[in-house]
Amino acid sequence: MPKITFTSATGESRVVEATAGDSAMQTAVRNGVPGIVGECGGVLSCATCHVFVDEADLDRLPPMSEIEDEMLDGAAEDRRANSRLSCQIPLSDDLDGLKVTTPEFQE
Amino acid sequence: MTVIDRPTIDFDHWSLKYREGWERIAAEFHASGHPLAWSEHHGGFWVLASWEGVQQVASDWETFTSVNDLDGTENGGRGQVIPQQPYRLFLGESDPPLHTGRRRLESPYFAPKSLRRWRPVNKRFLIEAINTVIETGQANLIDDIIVPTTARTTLHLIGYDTDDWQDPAAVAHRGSYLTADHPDYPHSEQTQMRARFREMLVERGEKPSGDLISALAGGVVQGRPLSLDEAESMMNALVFGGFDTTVSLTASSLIWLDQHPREAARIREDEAYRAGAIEEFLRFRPPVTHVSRTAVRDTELLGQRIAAGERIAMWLPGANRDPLKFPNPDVLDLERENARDNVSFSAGNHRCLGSPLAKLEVSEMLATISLHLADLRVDQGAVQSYPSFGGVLGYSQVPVTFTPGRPLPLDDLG
Repeated sequence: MPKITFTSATGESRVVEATAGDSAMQTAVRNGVPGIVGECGGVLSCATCHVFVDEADLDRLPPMSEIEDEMLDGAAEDRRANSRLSCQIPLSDDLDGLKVTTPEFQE
Repeated sequence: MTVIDRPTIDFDHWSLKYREGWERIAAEFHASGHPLAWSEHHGGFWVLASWEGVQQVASDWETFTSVNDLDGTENGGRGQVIPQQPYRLFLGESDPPLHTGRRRLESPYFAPKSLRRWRPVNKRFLIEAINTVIETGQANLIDDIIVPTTARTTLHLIGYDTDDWQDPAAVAHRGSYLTADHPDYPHSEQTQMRARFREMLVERGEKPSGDLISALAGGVVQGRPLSLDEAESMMNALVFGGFDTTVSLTASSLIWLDQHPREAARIREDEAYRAGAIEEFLRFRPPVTHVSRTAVRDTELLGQRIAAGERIAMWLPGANRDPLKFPNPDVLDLERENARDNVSFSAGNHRCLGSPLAKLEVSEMLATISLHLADLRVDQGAVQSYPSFGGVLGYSQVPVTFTPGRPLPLDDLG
Protein backbone atom coordinates (compact mmCIF):
# COMPACT_ATOMS: atom_id res chain seq x y z
CA MET A 1 0.00 0.00 0.00
CA PRO A 2 1.39 3.42 -0.95
CA LYS A 3 2.35 5.74 1.89
CA ILE A 4 1.72 9.46 1.64
CA THR A 5 2.98 12.19 3.95
CA PHE A 6 0.71 15.16 4.67
CA THR A 7 2.42 18.13 6.28
CA SER A 8 0.34 20.97 7.66
CA ALA A 9 1.03 24.66 7.09
CA THR A 10 2.51 24.77 10.60
CA GLY A 11 4.90 21.90 9.88
CA GLU A 12 3.23 18.92 11.54
CA SER A 13 3.60 15.77 9.45
CA ARG A 14 1.49 12.67 9.29
CA VAL A 15 2.16 9.52 7.27
CA VAL A 16 -0.93 7.70 6.03
CA GLU A 17 -1.18 4.32 4.34
CA ALA A 18 -3.45 4.74 1.36
CA THR A 19 -5.63 2.25 -0.44
CA ALA A 20 -4.44 1.95 -4.02
CA GLY A 21 -6.99 3.57 -6.31
CA ASP A 22 -8.13 6.15 -3.76
CA SER A 23 -7.21 9.74 -4.43
CA ALA A 24 -4.96 11.71 -2.09
CA MET A 25 -8.07 13.73 -1.12
CA GLN A 26 -10.09 10.61 -0.24
CA THR A 27 -7.14 9.26 1.73
CA ALA A 28 -6.92 12.47 3.74
CA VAL A 29 -10.65 12.72 4.42
CA ARG A 30 -11.02 9.03 5.37
CA ASN A 31 -8.10 9.26 7.77
CA GLY A 32 -9.13 12.55 9.34
CA VAL A 33 -6.13 14.48 8.08
CA PRO A 34 -6.84 18.14 8.85
CA GLY A 35 -6.36 20.80 6.20
CA ILE A 36 -8.24 19.09 3.38
CA VAL A 37 -11.99 19.56 2.99
CA GLY A 38 -13.03 17.90 -0.29
CA GLU A 39 -16.49 19.44 -0.21
CA CYS A 40 -17.54 18.24 -3.69
CA GLY A 41 -16.30 14.68 -3.19
CA GLY A 42 -13.78 14.76 -6.01
CA VAL A 43 -15.65 16.08 -9.05
CA LEU A 44 -13.58 19.22 -9.57
CA SER A 45 -16.07 21.81 -8.50
CA CYS A 46 -14.98 23.14 -5.10
CA ALA A 47 -11.17 23.57 -4.96
CA THR A 48 -11.07 22.72 -1.25
CA CYS A 49 -8.52 19.89 -1.50
CA HIS A 50 -5.66 22.12 -2.61
CA VAL A 51 -2.15 20.84 -1.77
CA PHE A 52 1.43 21.87 -2.46
CA VAL A 53 3.33 18.90 -3.84
CA ASP A 54 6.96 18.29 -2.86
CA GLU A 55 9.09 19.51 -5.78
CA ALA A 56 10.79 16.12 -6.07
CA ASP A 57 7.41 14.43 -6.60
CA LEU A 58 5.89 16.75 -9.19
CA ASP A 59 7.05 14.76 -12.21
CA ARG A 60 5.56 11.55 -10.81
CA LEU A 61 2.01 12.92 -10.94
CA PRO A 62 -0.43 12.67 -13.82
CA PRO A 63 -0.63 15.86 -15.89
CA MET A 64 -3.01 18.57 -14.83
CA SER A 65 -6.30 18.87 -16.75
CA GLU A 66 -7.61 22.22 -17.94
CA ILE A 67 -10.47 22.09 -15.43
CA GLU A 68 -8.14 21.43 -12.51
CA ASP A 69 -6.05 24.34 -13.71
CA GLU A 70 -9.13 26.61 -13.80
CA MET A 71 -10.34 25.53 -10.38
CA LEU A 72 -6.93 26.10 -8.76
CA ASP A 73 -7.31 29.79 -9.65
CA GLY A 74 -10.25 29.89 -7.24
CA ALA A 75 -8.56 28.12 -4.32
CA ALA A 76 -8.71 29.94 -0.99
CA GLU A 77 -4.93 30.24 -0.68
CA ASP A 78 -3.15 31.49 -3.79
CA ARG A 79 -1.80 28.76 -6.03
CA ARG A 80 1.90 28.21 -6.56
CA ALA A 81 3.90 26.36 -9.23
CA ASN A 82 3.58 23.12 -7.23
CA SER A 83 -0.16 23.40 -6.50
CA ARG A 84 -2.50 20.51 -7.28
CA LEU A 85 -5.99 19.47 -6.29
CA SER A 86 -5.51 16.28 -4.31
CA CYS A 87 -8.70 14.72 -5.71
CA GLN A 88 -6.83 14.51 -9.00
CA ILE A 89 -3.95 12.46 -7.58
CA PRO A 90 -4.90 8.78 -7.73
CA LEU A 91 -2.60 6.82 -5.45
CA SER A 92 -0.77 3.69 -6.52
CA ASP A 93 2.44 1.93 -5.52
CA ASP A 94 4.19 4.09 -8.09
CA LEU A 95 3.43 7.08 -5.89
CA ASP A 96 4.65 5.47 -2.67
CA GLY A 97 6.42 8.09 -0.54
CA LEU A 98 4.53 11.06 -2.01
CA LYS A 99 4.85 14.21 0.12
CA VAL A 100 2.36 17.07 0.09
CA THR A 101 1.80 20.13 2.25
CA THR A 102 -1.67 21.46 3.01
CA PRO A 103 -2.35 25.20 2.78
CA GLU A 104 -3.16 27.31 5.81
CA PHE A 105 -6.82 27.43 4.81
CA GLN A 106 -9.12 25.85 2.22
CA GLU A 107 -12.26 27.94 2.59
CA MET B 1 -24.61 -12.11 -5.18
CA THR B 2 -27.98 -13.88 -5.01
CA VAL B 3 -30.76 -12.22 -6.93
CA ILE B 4 -33.84 -11.81 -4.74
CA ASP B 5 -37.50 -11.51 -5.72
CA ARG B 6 -38.50 -8.00 -6.59
CA PRO B 7 -39.58 -6.40 -3.29
CA THR B 8 -42.25 -3.73 -3.49
CA ILE B 9 -43.12 -0.64 -1.49
CA ASP B 10 -46.17 1.64 -1.53
CA PHE B 11 -44.13 4.81 -1.94
CA ASP B 12 -45.23 8.12 -3.44
CA HIS B 13 -43.03 11.01 -2.38
CA TRP B 14 -45.70 13.52 -3.53
CA SER B 15 -48.42 12.00 -1.29
CA LEU B 16 -49.87 13.18 2.01
CA LYS B 17 -48.86 9.84 3.50
CA TYR B 18 -45.23 10.60 2.67
CA ARG B 19 -45.45 14.13 4.01
CA GLU B 20 -46.96 12.93 7.29
CA GLY B 21 -44.65 10.03 7.93
CA TRP B 22 -41.53 9.83 5.80
CA GLU B 23 -39.29 9.18 8.80
CA ARG B 24 -41.34 6.11 9.75
CA ILE B 25 -41.38 4.92 6.12
CA ALA B 26 -37.57 5.21 6.09
CA ALA B 27 -37.18 3.29 9.36
CA GLU B 28 -39.44 0.47 8.17
CA PHE B 29 -37.77 0.35 4.77
CA HIS B 30 -34.35 -0.11 6.36
CA ALA B 31 -35.74 -2.62 8.87
CA SER B 32 -36.97 -4.72 5.91
CA GLY B 33 -33.35 -5.41 5.01
CA HIS B 34 -33.94 -4.45 1.36
CA PRO B 35 -33.71 -0.66 1.03
CA LEU B 36 -34.28 -1.00 -2.72
CA ALA B 37 -37.87 -1.76 -3.73
CA TRP B 38 -40.29 -1.19 -6.57
CA SER B 39 -43.09 1.37 -6.34
CA GLU B 40 -46.00 1.28 -8.79
CA HIS B 41 -46.66 5.03 -8.53
CA HIS B 42 -45.85 7.43 -11.39
CA GLY B 43 -45.50 4.63 -13.94
CA GLY B 44 -43.27 2.54 -11.70
CA PHE B 45 -39.81 3.21 -10.28
CA TRP B 46 -37.24 1.81 -7.88
CA VAL B 47 -36.93 3.50 -4.50
CA LEU B 48 -33.35 3.42 -3.22
CA ALA B 49 -32.55 4.26 0.42
CA SER B 50 -29.23 2.46 0.81
CA TRP B 51 -26.40 4.95 1.36
CA GLU B 52 -23.94 2.67 -0.44
CA GLY B 53 -26.45 2.14 -3.23
CA VAL B 54 -26.81 5.89 -3.70
CA GLN B 55 -23.04 6.25 -4.00
CA GLN B 56 -22.99 3.51 -6.62
CA VAL B 57 -25.87 4.85 -8.71
CA ALA B 58 -24.72 8.47 -8.50
CA SER B 59 -21.19 7.54 -9.58
CA ASP B 60 -22.00 5.12 -12.39
CA TRP B 61 -23.37 7.49 -15.01
CA GLU B 62 -22.61 5.04 -17.80
CA THR B 63 -25.28 2.69 -16.40
CA PHE B 64 -27.59 5.18 -14.69
CA THR B 65 -28.17 8.20 -16.90
CA SER B 66 -29.40 11.63 -15.82
CA VAL B 67 -30.52 12.54 -19.33
CA ASN B 68 -34.10 13.74 -19.83
CA ASP B 69 -34.58 12.57 -23.39
CA LEU B 70 -37.75 14.49 -24.12
CA ASP B 71 -37.54 14.26 -27.90
CA GLY B 72 -36.40 10.63 -28.00
CA THR B 73 -33.15 11.29 -29.81
CA GLU B 74 -30.70 10.29 -27.06
CA ASN B 75 -30.72 7.34 -24.66
CA GLY B 76 -34.32 7.20 -23.46
CA GLY B 77 -33.47 8.65 -20.04
CA ARG B 78 -36.32 10.28 -18.13
CA GLY B 79 -34.46 12.87 -16.12
CA GLN B 80 -33.85 13.72 -12.50
CA VAL B 81 -37.42 14.07 -11.26
CA ILE B 82 -40.23 11.51 -10.90
CA PRO B 83 -42.64 12.08 -12.58
CA GLN B 84 -40.67 13.09 -15.66
CA GLN B 85 -40.64 16.87 -16.17
CA PRO B 86 -41.52 18.54 -19.47
CA TYR B 87 -38.76 21.16 -19.19
CA ARG B 88 -35.24 19.87 -19.64
CA LEU B 89 -32.50 20.87 -17.24
CA PHE B 90 -29.53 20.81 -19.58
CA LEU B 91 -26.95 20.72 -16.79
CA GLY B 92 -28.60 18.44 -14.25
CA GLU B 93 -30.12 16.23 -16.89
CA SER B 94 -27.02 15.41 -18.88
CA ASP B 95 -24.08 13.01 -18.51
CA PRO B 96 -20.32 13.45 -18.85
CA PRO B 97 -18.50 14.58 -20.90
CA LEU B 98 -21.14 17.09 -22.01
CA HIS B 99 -22.19 17.63 -18.39
CA THR B 100 -18.58 18.26 -17.38
CA GLY B 101 -18.21 20.91 -20.08
CA ARG B 102 -21.37 22.71 -19.05
CA ARG B 103 -20.68 22.56 -15.31
CA ARG B 104 -17.22 23.94 -15.83
CA LEU B 105 -18.75 27.27 -16.87
CA GLU B 106 -20.39 27.69 -13.46
CA SER B 107 -17.88 26.07 -11.07
CA PRO B 108 -15.52 29.05 -10.67
CA TYR B 109 -18.38 31.13 -9.23
CA PHE B 110 -18.63 28.72 -6.29
CA ALA B 111 -14.89 28.32 -5.64
CA PRO B 112 -13.47 29.63 -2.35
CA LYS B 113 -12.16 32.93 -3.78
CA SER B 114 -15.61 33.68 -5.21
CA LEU B 115 -17.32 32.76 -1.94
CA ARG B 116 -15.19 35.37 -0.23
CA ARG B 117 -16.92 37.93 -2.44
CA TRP B 118 -20.41 36.57 -1.78
CA ARG B 119 -20.06 36.38 2.02
CA PRO B 120 -20.34 40.14 2.76
CA VAL B 121 -23.04 40.48 0.11
CA ASN B 122 -25.10 37.78 1.81
CA LYS B 123 -24.54 39.45 5.19
CA ARG B 124 -25.75 42.79 3.85
CA PHE B 125 -28.92 41.27 2.40
CA LEU B 126 -29.54 39.48 5.69
CA ILE B 127 -29.18 42.63 7.77
CA GLU B 128 -31.38 44.56 5.33
CA ALA B 129 -34.06 41.86 5.66
CA ILE B 130 -33.82 41.86 9.46
CA ASN B 131 -34.16 45.66 9.43
CA THR B 132 -37.49 45.42 7.60
CA VAL B 133 -39.05 43.76 10.64
CA ILE B 134 -36.80 44.50 13.63
CA GLU B 135 -38.95 47.35 14.95
CA THR B 136 -42.21 45.40 14.76
CA GLY B 137 -41.49 42.48 17.07
CA GLN B 138 -42.98 39.90 14.74
CA ALA B 139 -42.26 38.32 11.36
CA ASN B 140 -42.70 35.34 9.09
CA LEU B 141 -39.12 34.09 8.98
CA ILE B 142 -39.63 32.63 5.51
CA ASP B 143 -41.05 35.56 3.56
CA ASP B 144 -39.55 38.38 5.59
CA ILE B 145 -35.99 37.23 6.21
CA ILE B 146 -34.82 33.92 4.75
CA VAL B 147 -36.26 34.15 1.23
CA PRO B 148 -35.15 37.75 0.57
CA THR B 149 -31.65 37.01 1.88
CA THR B 150 -31.06 33.83 -0.11
CA ALA B 151 -32.89 34.93 -3.26
CA ARG B 152 -30.99 38.20 -3.48
CA THR B 153 -27.64 36.49 -2.81
CA THR B 154 -28.27 33.98 -5.58
CA LEU B 155 -29.42 36.69 -8.00
CA HIS B 156 -26.40 38.84 -7.16
CA LEU B 157 -24.05 35.94 -7.89
CA ILE B 158 -25.73 35.30 -11.22
CA GLY B 159 -25.80 38.94 -12.24
CA TYR B 160 -29.57 39.53 -12.01
CA ASP B 161 -31.06 42.68 -10.50
CA THR B 162 -31.23 41.93 -6.77
CA ASP B 163 -34.06 44.42 -6.18
CA ASP B 164 -36.21 42.36 -8.54
CA TRP B 165 -36.25 39.27 -6.32
CA GLN B 166 -39.95 38.84 -5.52
CA ASP B 167 -41.07 37.25 -8.80
CA PRO B 168 -38.28 34.68 -9.11
CA ALA B 169 -38.64 33.83 -5.42
CA ALA B 170 -42.40 33.33 -5.69
CA VAL B 171 -42.05 31.15 -8.78
CA ALA B 172 -39.28 29.09 -7.19
CA HIS B 173 -41.37 28.62 -4.06
CA ARG B 174 -44.43 27.26 -5.87
CA GLY B 175 -42.36 25.27 -8.33
CA SER B 176 -40.75 23.49 -5.40
CA TYR B 177 -43.80 21.83 -3.97
CA LEU B 178 -46.15 21.37 -6.92
CA THR B 179 -45.76 18.88 -9.76
CA ALA B 180 -45.90 20.24 -13.29
CA ASP B 181 -49.38 18.71 -13.81
CA HIS B 182 -50.88 20.59 -10.84
CA PRO B 183 -53.35 23.38 -11.80
CA ASP B 184 -51.53 25.91 -9.60
CA TYR B 185 -48.08 25.11 -10.97
CA PRO B 186 -46.57 28.44 -12.09
CA HIS B 187 -46.19 27.58 -15.79
CA SER B 188 -46.99 31.01 -17.21
CA GLU B 189 -44.84 32.81 -14.65
CA GLN B 190 -41.96 30.45 -15.40
CA THR B 191 -42.38 31.06 -19.12
CA GLN B 192 -42.20 34.81 -18.53
CA MET B 193 -39.12 34.45 -16.35
CA ARG B 194 -37.41 32.28 -18.96
CA ALA B 195 -38.13 34.84 -21.67
CA ARG B 196 -36.48 37.42 -19.41
CA PHE B 197 -33.50 35.08 -18.92
CA ARG B 198 -33.09 34.80 -22.70
CA GLU B 199 -33.14 38.58 -23.10
CA MET B 200 -30.47 38.94 -20.42
CA LEU B 201 -28.31 36.24 -22.02
CA VAL B 202 -28.45 38.02 -25.37
CA GLU B 203 -27.62 41.36 -23.69
CA ARG B 204 -24.65 39.91 -21.82
CA GLY B 205 -23.46 38.10 -24.93
CA GLU B 206 -23.10 41.50 -26.55
CA LYS B 207 -21.80 43.24 -23.45
CA PRO B 208 -20.18 40.80 -20.99
CA SER B 209 -19.82 42.00 -17.41
CA GLY B 210 -17.96 39.18 -15.68
CA ASP B 211 -20.99 37.69 -13.99
CA LEU B 212 -22.35 34.17 -14.33
CA ILE B 213 -24.90 35.18 -16.96
CA SER B 214 -22.02 36.51 -19.06
CA ALA B 215 -20.11 33.25 -18.56
CA LEU B 216 -23.11 31.32 -19.89
CA ALA B 217 -23.73 33.78 -22.71
CA GLY B 218 -20.15 33.43 -23.94
CA GLY B 219 -19.74 29.81 -22.87
CA VAL B 220 -18.02 27.24 -25.07
CA VAL B 221 -18.73 23.53 -24.60
CA GLN B 222 -16.86 20.83 -26.45
CA GLY B 223 -15.57 23.39 -28.91
CA ARG B 224 -18.93 24.98 -29.77
CA PRO B 225 -20.82 27.92 -28.27
CA LEU B 226 -23.36 27.06 -25.57
CA SER B 227 -26.79 27.34 -27.19
CA LEU B 228 -29.40 29.79 -25.95
CA ASP B 229 -31.61 26.84 -24.89
CA GLU B 230 -28.78 25.38 -22.82
CA ALA B 231 -27.87 28.72 -21.27
CA GLU B 232 -31.50 29.54 -20.44
CA SER B 233 -31.96 26.14 -18.82
CA MET B 234 -28.80 26.50 -16.75
CA MET B 235 -29.82 29.96 -15.61
CA ASN B 236 -33.27 28.61 -14.83
CA ALA B 237 -31.76 25.90 -12.61
CA LEU B 238 -29.60 28.41 -10.77
CA VAL B 239 -32.51 30.74 -10.06
CA PHE B 240 -35.26 28.19 -9.37
CA GLY B 241 -33.15 25.42 -7.88
CA GLY B 242 -30.67 27.65 -6.21
CA PHE B 243 -32.18 28.93 -3.04
CA ASP B 244 -35.49 27.38 -1.98
CA THR B 245 -33.47 24.45 -0.67
CA THR B 246 -31.33 26.77 1.44
CA VAL B 247 -34.49 28.42 2.73
CA SER B 248 -35.84 25.05 3.86
CA LEU B 249 -32.70 23.98 5.66
CA THR B 250 -32.39 27.30 7.48
CA ALA B 251 -36.04 27.19 8.53
CA SER B 252 -35.97 23.61 9.80
CA SER B 253 -32.78 24.32 11.74
CA LEU B 254 -34.22 27.45 13.36
CA ILE B 255 -37.44 25.62 14.24
CA TRP B 256 -35.43 22.91 16.00
CA LEU B 257 -33.09 25.37 17.72
CA ASP B 258 -36.08 27.28 19.08
CA GLN B 259 -36.75 24.25 21.27
CA HIS B 260 -33.07 23.71 22.14
CA PRO B 261 -31.75 27.00 23.53
CA ARG B 262 -28.49 25.53 24.86
CA GLU B 263 -27.51 24.31 21.40
CA ALA B 264 -28.76 27.56 19.84
CA ALA B 265 -26.44 29.58 22.08
CA ARG B 266 -23.47 27.39 21.24
CA ILE B 267 -24.23 27.62 17.52
CA ARG B 268 -24.08 31.42 17.72
CA GLU B 269 -20.72 31.39 19.47
CA ASP B 270 -18.77 28.38 18.18
CA GLU B 271 -18.10 28.34 14.43
CA ALA B 272 -16.67 24.80 14.31
CA TYR B 273 -19.64 23.44 16.25
CA ARG B 274 -21.97 25.34 13.92
CA ALA B 275 -20.33 23.80 10.83
CA GLY B 276 -20.80 20.30 12.24
CA ALA B 277 -24.36 21.07 13.30
CA ILE B 278 -25.26 22.21 9.78
CA GLU B 279 -24.07 18.84 8.43
CA GLU B 280 -26.33 17.04 10.89
CA PHE B 281 -29.28 19.31 10.11
CA LEU B 282 -28.65 18.47 6.46
CA ARG B 283 -28.59 14.75 7.23
CA PHE B 284 -31.67 14.88 9.40
CA ARG B 285 -33.98 17.04 7.28
CA PRO B 286 -32.58 17.23 3.78
CA PRO B 287 -34.38 19.79 1.63
CA VAL B 288 -34.31 17.71 -1.57
CA THR B 289 -36.42 14.57 -1.51
CA HIS B 290 -35.14 12.63 -4.47
CA VAL B 291 -32.93 12.63 -7.52
CA SER B 292 -33.61 10.02 -10.15
CA ARG B 293 -31.72 8.13 -12.82
CA THR B 294 -32.72 5.78 -15.65
CA ALA B 295 -30.89 2.51 -16.24
CA VAL B 296 -29.65 2.42 -19.82
CA ARG B 297 -28.75 -1.30 -19.67
CA ASP B 298 -29.72 -4.34 -17.66
CA THR B 299 -27.75 -4.31 -14.46
CA GLU B 300 -27.71 -5.47 -10.86
CA LEU B 301 -27.92 -3.28 -7.78
CA LEU B 302 -27.80 -4.57 -4.19
CA GLY B 303 -28.47 -8.06 -5.53
CA GLN B 304 -31.52 -6.91 -7.43
CA ARG B 305 -31.97 -7.08 -11.21
CA ILE B 306 -32.65 -3.68 -12.74
CA ALA B 307 -33.88 -3.70 -16.34
CA ALA B 308 -32.83 -1.22 -19.00
CA GLY B 309 -35.32 1.65 -19.08
CA GLU B 310 -36.33 1.37 -15.41
CA ARG B 311 -36.05 4.41 -13.20
CA ILE B 312 -34.35 4.64 -9.81
CA ALA B 313 -35.24 7.35 -7.32
CA MET B 314 -32.31 8.03 -5.04
CA TRP B 315 -34.29 8.83 -1.91
CA LEU B 316 -31.86 11.21 -0.24
CA PRO B 317 -33.63 11.55 3.16
CA GLY B 318 -33.96 7.75 3.19
CA ALA B 319 -30.25 7.23 2.52
CA ASN B 320 -29.43 9.71 5.28
CA ARG B 321 -31.33 7.39 7.66
CA ASP B 322 -29.40 4.27 6.61
CA PRO B 323 -28.36 2.67 9.94
CA LEU B 324 -25.47 0.89 8.21
CA LYS B 325 -23.92 4.32 7.63
CA PHE B 326 -25.38 6.43 10.44
CA PRO B 327 -25.90 4.57 13.75
CA ASN B 328 -29.15 5.56 15.52
CA PRO B 329 -30.18 7.48 12.41
CA ASP B 330 -33.38 8.88 13.94
CA VAL B 331 -31.44 10.71 16.63
CA LEU B 332 -30.38 14.25 15.78
CA ASP B 333 -26.84 14.48 17.15
CA LEU B 334 -25.19 17.81 16.36
CA GLU B 335 -21.77 16.31 17.06
CA ARG B 336 -22.28 13.18 14.95
CA GLU B 337 -18.85 12.15 13.70
CA ASN B 338 -19.74 11.31 10.11
CA ALA B 339 -22.65 13.72 9.55
CA ARG B 340 -20.81 15.29 6.63
CA ASP B 341 -21.20 12.03 4.72
CA ASN B 342 -24.88 12.91 4.25
CA VAL B 343 -26.12 12.76 0.65
CA SER B 344 -28.41 15.78 0.92
CA PHE B 345 -26.53 17.44 -1.94
CA SER B 346 -26.60 14.14 -3.89
CA ALA B 347 -23.28 12.53 -4.85
CA GLY B 348 -21.03 11.90 -7.82
CA ASN B 349 -20.71 14.22 -10.79
CA HIS B 350 -24.03 15.93 -10.15
CA ARG B 351 -23.38 16.73 -6.50
CA CYS B 352 -24.81 20.20 -5.88
CA LEU B 353 -22.44 22.81 -7.22
CA GLY B 354 -23.81 25.42 -4.84
CA SER B 355 -23.29 23.49 -1.62
CA PRO B 356 -20.47 25.75 -0.33
CA LEU B 357 -22.66 28.81 -0.88
CA ALA B 358 -25.64 27.13 0.78
CA LYS B 359 -23.57 26.28 3.86
CA LEU B 360 -22.15 29.80 4.01
CA GLU B 361 -25.65 31.28 3.91
CA VAL B 362 -27.15 28.88 6.45
CA SER B 363 -24.21 29.45 8.79
CA GLU B 364 -24.62 33.22 8.62
CA MET B 365 -28.37 33.06 9.21
CA LEU B 366 -28.12 30.63 12.16
CA ALA B 367 -25.49 32.82 13.78
CA THR B 368 -27.12 36.17 13.08
CA ILE B 369 -30.90 35.97 13.18
CA SER B 370 -31.32 35.01 16.82
CA LEU B 371 -28.45 37.29 17.79
CA HIS B 372 -30.17 40.42 16.51
CA LEU B 373 -33.80 39.49 17.07
CA ALA B 374 -33.75 39.45 20.87
CA ASP B 375 -35.81 36.82 22.70
CA LEU B 376 -36.72 35.20 19.37
CA ARG B 377 -39.47 32.58 19.68
CA VAL B 378 -41.02 30.48 16.94
CA ASP B 379 -44.79 30.11 17.15
CA GLN B 380 -44.47 26.33 16.76
CA GLY B 381 -48.23 25.77 16.45
CA ALA B 382 -48.49 28.14 13.49
CA VAL B 383 -45.61 26.71 11.43
CA GLN B 384 -46.85 25.59 8.02
CA SER B 385 -44.88 23.21 5.88
CA TYR B 386 -45.34 22.69 2.16
CA PRO B 387 -48.48 20.77 1.16
CA SER B 388 -46.22 18.17 -0.47
CA PHE B 389 -42.61 17.17 0.15
CA GLY B 390 -42.18 15.53 -3.26
CA GLY B 391 -39.78 18.18 -4.48
CA VAL B 392 -38.56 20.03 -1.41
CA LEU B 393 -39.16 19.47 2.29
CA GLY B 394 -39.97 23.10 2.93
CA TYR B 395 -42.02 25.66 4.82
CA SER B 396 -44.34 28.45 3.80
CA GLN B 397 -44.93 30.01 7.25
CA VAL B 398 -42.61 30.20 10.25
CA PRO B 399 -44.13 32.96 12.43
CA VAL B 400 -41.84 34.39 15.10
CA THR B 401 -42.01 37.02 17.80
CA PHE B 402 -39.14 38.94 19.40
CA THR B 403 -38.42 42.05 21.43
CA PRO B 404 -38.48 45.03 19.02
CA GLY B 405 -35.14 46.73 18.44
CA ARG B 406 -33.48 49.52 16.51
CA PRO B 407 -32.43 48.95 12.86
CA LEU B 408 -28.91 47.63 12.50
CA PRO B 409 -26.14 49.67 10.86
CA LEU B 410 -25.11 48.67 7.34
CA ASP B 411 -21.99 50.83 7.10
CA ASP B 412 -19.46 48.27 8.28
CA LEU B 413 -20.63 45.43 6.03
CA GLY B 414 -18.43 46.21 3.05
